Amino acid sequence: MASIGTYSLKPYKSDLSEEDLLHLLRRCLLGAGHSDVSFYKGKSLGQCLDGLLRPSPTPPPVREELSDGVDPYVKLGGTWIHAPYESEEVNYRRKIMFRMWWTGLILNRDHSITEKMTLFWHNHFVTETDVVKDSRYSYYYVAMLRSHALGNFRQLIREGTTSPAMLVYLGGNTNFKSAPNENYARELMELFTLGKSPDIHYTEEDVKAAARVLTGWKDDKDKCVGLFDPAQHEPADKHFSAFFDHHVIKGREGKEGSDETDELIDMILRKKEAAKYVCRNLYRWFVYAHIDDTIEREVIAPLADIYFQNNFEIVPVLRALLGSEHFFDPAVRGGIVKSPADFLLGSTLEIGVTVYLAPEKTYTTLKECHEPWLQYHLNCEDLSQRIGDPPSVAGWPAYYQAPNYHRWWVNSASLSMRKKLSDGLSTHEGLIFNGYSISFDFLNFSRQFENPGDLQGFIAQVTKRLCAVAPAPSTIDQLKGLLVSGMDTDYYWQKAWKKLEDKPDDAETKDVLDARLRMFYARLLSLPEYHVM
Amino acid sequence: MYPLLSALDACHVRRQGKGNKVFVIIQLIGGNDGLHTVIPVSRYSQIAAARPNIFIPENKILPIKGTSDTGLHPSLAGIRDMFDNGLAGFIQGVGYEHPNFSHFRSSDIWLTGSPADKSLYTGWMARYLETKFKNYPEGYPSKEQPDPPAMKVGDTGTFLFQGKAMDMSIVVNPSIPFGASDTDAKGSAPDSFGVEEVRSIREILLQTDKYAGVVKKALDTPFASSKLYPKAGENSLADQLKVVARLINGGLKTSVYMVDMKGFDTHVEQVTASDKTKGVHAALLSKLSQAITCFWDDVVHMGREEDIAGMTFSEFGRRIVSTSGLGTDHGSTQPVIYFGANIDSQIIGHNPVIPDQVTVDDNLPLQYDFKAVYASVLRQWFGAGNDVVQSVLPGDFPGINIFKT
Repeated sequence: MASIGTYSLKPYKSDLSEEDLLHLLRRCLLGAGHSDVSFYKGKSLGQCLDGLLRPSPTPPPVREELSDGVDPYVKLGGTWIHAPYESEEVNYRRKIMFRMWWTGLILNRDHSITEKMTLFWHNHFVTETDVVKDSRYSYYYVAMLRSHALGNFRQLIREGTTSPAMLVYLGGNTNFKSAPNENYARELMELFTLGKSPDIHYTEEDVKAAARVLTGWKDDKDKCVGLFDPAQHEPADKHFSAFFDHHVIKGREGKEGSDETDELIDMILRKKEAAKYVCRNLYRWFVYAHIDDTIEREVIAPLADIYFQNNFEIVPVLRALLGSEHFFDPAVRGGIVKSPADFLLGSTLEIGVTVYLAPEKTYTTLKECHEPWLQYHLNCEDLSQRIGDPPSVAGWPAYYQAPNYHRWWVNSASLSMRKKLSDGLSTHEGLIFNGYSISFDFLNFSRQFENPGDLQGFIAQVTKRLCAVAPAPSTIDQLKGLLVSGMDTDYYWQKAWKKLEDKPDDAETKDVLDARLRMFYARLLSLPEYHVM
Repeated sequence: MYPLLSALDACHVRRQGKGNKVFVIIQLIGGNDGLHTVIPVSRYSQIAAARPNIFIPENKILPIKGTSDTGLHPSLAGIRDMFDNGLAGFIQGVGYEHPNFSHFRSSDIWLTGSPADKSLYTGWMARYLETKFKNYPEGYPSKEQPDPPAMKVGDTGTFLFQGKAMDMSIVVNPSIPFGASDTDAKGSAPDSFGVEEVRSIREILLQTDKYAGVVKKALDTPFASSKLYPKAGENSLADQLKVVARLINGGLKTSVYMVDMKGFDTHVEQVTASDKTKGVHAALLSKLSQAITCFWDDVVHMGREEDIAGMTFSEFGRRIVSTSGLGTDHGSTQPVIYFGANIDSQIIGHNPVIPDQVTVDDNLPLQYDFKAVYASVLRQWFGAGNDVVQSVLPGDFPGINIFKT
């Protein structure tokens, strides 16, 4: 077993090495591309954290991406977030647009941690697009998570609790005083705020009382909001157990009944355990899956103090964790198995792809061409991560299922599929879909390294960039053999790059380099070392 | 025959893969000097004039059966014996129009089967295999085709097997246990959780590799390799071919194997100054000859002579005129060596014509397009129809009688 050197949350050295920076970026972004590295290179740790923790701008809302006239309410490029729908077909189509929108945001992310945190919150505070059904609800829900991704947990939980998506997903819209539905109240405590660790002693009665507090909320199809209906609200007082210091939420009549919801959340978040619970989930997401007693004591507890003292603002917690000596401890590096999003969207973001539109093979990019966004969504689904639809209200087992945790992502089926996708993206023709193909742009990626004609230096730079754990020397030799086509000398590799430098558009030189790079990277991307971060 | 015995016999035949045609391609990386391989004795004086500092003394050239016009490099005794016994042949002057003298580009031309002026992005053999393994990798391995389409034995994969969707070969490195990595070999405690995760993923990958089981099984099938093989590590090509024989004997139905040999880029010190029959090139040819001889001994031992054939190629030959550093520069055409019991053992083509006043720019003229050689392998050995050959190798290539008809 590897052993952790330091558990200290003291700030790590300010002057980051390239390995330090890559470790930080791999964990916070999805993939660390040239543009990310050059954006952060030379900055102090504090400045890097400033950049990472700065929220991305609010993106434009989801739109009709594919065609005119199929959705009766919107034209191509128009948004449907206020538009009604009559048929399930229209709604289904919007669901596809919503999924495209989300992967599109990730694939076009900036240098902020926002997308990674939005995924984190959706895994923590789960809804499932297919269960929610109304695509507008799912859109508003995820937009809400994104807007609070680097914000305040209290606000996020408060808004989420009465969001139409959540009201549908966990039955809050059928929680009436005559027959309370306890589903949401239970998950609110068990999965969203407090968890079920041994020190959590809320009672069944607490769940029932919370359910009564939440009676009266329902989703409103016209405005796409949660509305409070006083007629369905239980006006009696709600008594809580010793765990909540026998707190009583005073029953309220009329519109004021909705204030009980705020009070309930305030009551729960007075428990420091809530801060600990979220910090444990953050730790598994960003640092390492296995939390032992020492980590609990030395890392989780002080982080929870920061969270609690800062009124559940997430940024101070992230700043402390991601800037800590512990986060940069050599033992934890490479210790997370990449999720499908980290692997597939990450590889695309770090290497870069070219999209070719059939039949003329017109070159375009993922910014311009939106159809592949859906394909990426589907391919992540093939790899067991259907973004927007975790398998249950508990999120993906990779983040809670002991003892395997993140190893849940990798098995014979998913690793074969990962290889199939990375091999396909590595071919000249690329992965072919209806009307377009996507192919890694290895030449462009490679030429941005310093002096790629220097074979040893090139391989060292590429493996350092792409692999959190260094491949074995025999593997490096094998990779090298692919670049020099078995020649004993680096000379011809050097010569080819020199030729490209002299004539950057020479098709033959580009083809010669491209052919070698494709075999090299296809092999590299299928190494176990590429599946960890 | 008793029914049980005949069933056993059928099992035996199937396990051994008898009747399954196998073709072995040997790539000589760097550009083999053809004039020092299959030596045009009838042009001795012109060549000696063009490369006086390196050319093999006439009395050292190995004579071959049936002709005094052509001989072999003295290091090729094993190949000479195979030729004399009808087990090897030579095709003279193989190359392509508008030769390219870049190692990389010319290797790609040979491996993809492209014309000189156009890039192709898949290997020619992969294109053929894709006609046999339709939609590969979707649906493979299957009951009918349980084994890898192609095997590469050596330390890396090859463009030859790069298919449309992925590399169609499984790579076996003779010097590393199949599926292992040298981080595993150390056995020391990992210094990070990352190393632990990598190890665990490697385990899964090994189980995941859909062909790992059959390949491992074939490798583990007991087989007494020929006693002629040198010790492991002395002759890398022999080490590779030994693995090929083992895989074939182990019952793999894979029909194409590729192996390679490095070091043919002999710009300097191709021969030693004191003895022109010695030096880097002589050592390479000696290993080539030894490796093929040992491999063929395995083939005979397996009783698979009828099923197995192979050829060598290099990305180009070398210049007629030698360099002052006792070597040769990149050139154009080269002889291809082919071998097997079912081949038509002969010298195809004629000794290359050497101009009377050779200049440093002169190259050996083209006699056979390499794509015609491939097309003949596909037609004659694998029984491919014209439409298949056309789709694999666009163009019109006349047949060459490499195999017995």
